[in-house]
Amino acid sequence: MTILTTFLPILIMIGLVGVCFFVIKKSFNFKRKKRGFGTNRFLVGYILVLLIATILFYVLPDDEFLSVPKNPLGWSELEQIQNNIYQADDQEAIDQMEELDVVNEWSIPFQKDELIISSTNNGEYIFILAEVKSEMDNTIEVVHYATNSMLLKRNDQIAYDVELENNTLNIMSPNPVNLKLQHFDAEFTTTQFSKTAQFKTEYFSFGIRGPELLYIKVPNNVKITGDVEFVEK
Amino acid sequence: MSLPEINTWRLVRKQHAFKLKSYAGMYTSLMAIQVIGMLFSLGGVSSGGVSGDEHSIEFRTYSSNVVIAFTFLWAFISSILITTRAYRNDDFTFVTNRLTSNLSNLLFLLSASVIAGITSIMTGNVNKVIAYFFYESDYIIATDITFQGLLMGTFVTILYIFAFAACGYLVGTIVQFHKLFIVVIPTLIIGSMFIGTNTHDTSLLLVWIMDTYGKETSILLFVLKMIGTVGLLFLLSITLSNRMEVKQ
Repeated sequence: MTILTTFLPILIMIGLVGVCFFVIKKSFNFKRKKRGFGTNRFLVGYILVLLIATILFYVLPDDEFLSVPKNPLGWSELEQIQNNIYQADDQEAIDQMEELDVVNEWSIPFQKDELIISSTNNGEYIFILAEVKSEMDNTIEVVHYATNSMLLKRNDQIAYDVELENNTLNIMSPNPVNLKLQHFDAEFTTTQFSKTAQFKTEYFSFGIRGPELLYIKVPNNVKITGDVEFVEK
Repeated sequence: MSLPEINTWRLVRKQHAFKLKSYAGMYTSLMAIQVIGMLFSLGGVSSGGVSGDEHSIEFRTYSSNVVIAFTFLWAFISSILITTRAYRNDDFTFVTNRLTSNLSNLLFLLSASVIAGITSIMTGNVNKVIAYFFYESDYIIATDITFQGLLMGTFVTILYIFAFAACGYLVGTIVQFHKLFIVVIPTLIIGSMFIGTNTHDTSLLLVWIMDTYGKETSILLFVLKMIGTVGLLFLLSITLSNRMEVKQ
């Protein structure tokens, strides 16, 4: 088995070279005959197809494409963001993190004095941080932060939703998503010398949105229970 | 009575022009090879997926990398073929010597490399347009390339193709010396793929080629290395062919 796995790629390569040699040698025989009208037509047709495809490609609408970020976040950077989220003292510290974007915000009127936080977890993990406000404004404020990835702003179907039912704040996870991506890459001869950002699967090592959190602020007369971390003031 | 004086460069230019017109098979084979490469790339040059509890992401990458690799092979094989006797004898329809014949071949291979380089970069667009219009996808991620970057990429592709052509030309010239080399050279090439594989994962020759050319990030150094390599390969070919008999 090991010998086969060692030799198989080489055998495939030799086979491929053999096929190419055969095709090229056969085509070279055209030289012996006078180049006919048919051959010319094929060549002209081929060049036309290449030209049309090139023109078409460059006139495709730009907003159909997502760009690979200039400074893509790898595994270690994403891990660092995760740690910074855990260690954040308050919302100001979160807001100062450049890698995080506000995805959604909710402001929910709330009159009761006890709030239960319930999360319908679909398998993913979101860090939930709660802060008791200094004022008693009868409003719950919720902010969803996620790492600014290339998919974030474009994908409505992967957003969390927050809903108040009596005194329970339900955090509803997005449904699992199956995405099909096409990556139009530059040739290796182009990327060898130009510092273009490369697409890596590492972007998705922390899920589609990267490290994320829900920051919940409640009036100072409300007692919170549930699976939530607290900001000490 | 005076004999007309023959200018070497004028002769080289004439032979070059003749070869551009008469070696039609070279363009047909280029087209055939690139079409094969495009067919191989139709489903993407690479694909993969990432999945977790909340998501599954499937992606396919489209570029002309496979076509470029096939074009390297085309340049190598075609260069061997133009060193064969049938093609060499064509030069005798002109007043010629080994030097003019080799120089016109060099110019022809350079012209063919330019055509091959431009077309191989363009083939990537065919696959991308097909993928855009006919394949289902939620998102298309595009690597941003400036026009300057694209031009540089095309230039680099031409240099690589020309280097492969120079390698093929040297191999073809060596084979003309003795038919035994038809067996010896492939054996040496395949054999060299195994040297170093017991201590490293890849062959030492491939590692050296990748380190010298593939990982070079300075365009100036890369061009100098390529010119040096191609120059050396053609110099060897010319020197060797000068030692051959007329019409050998």
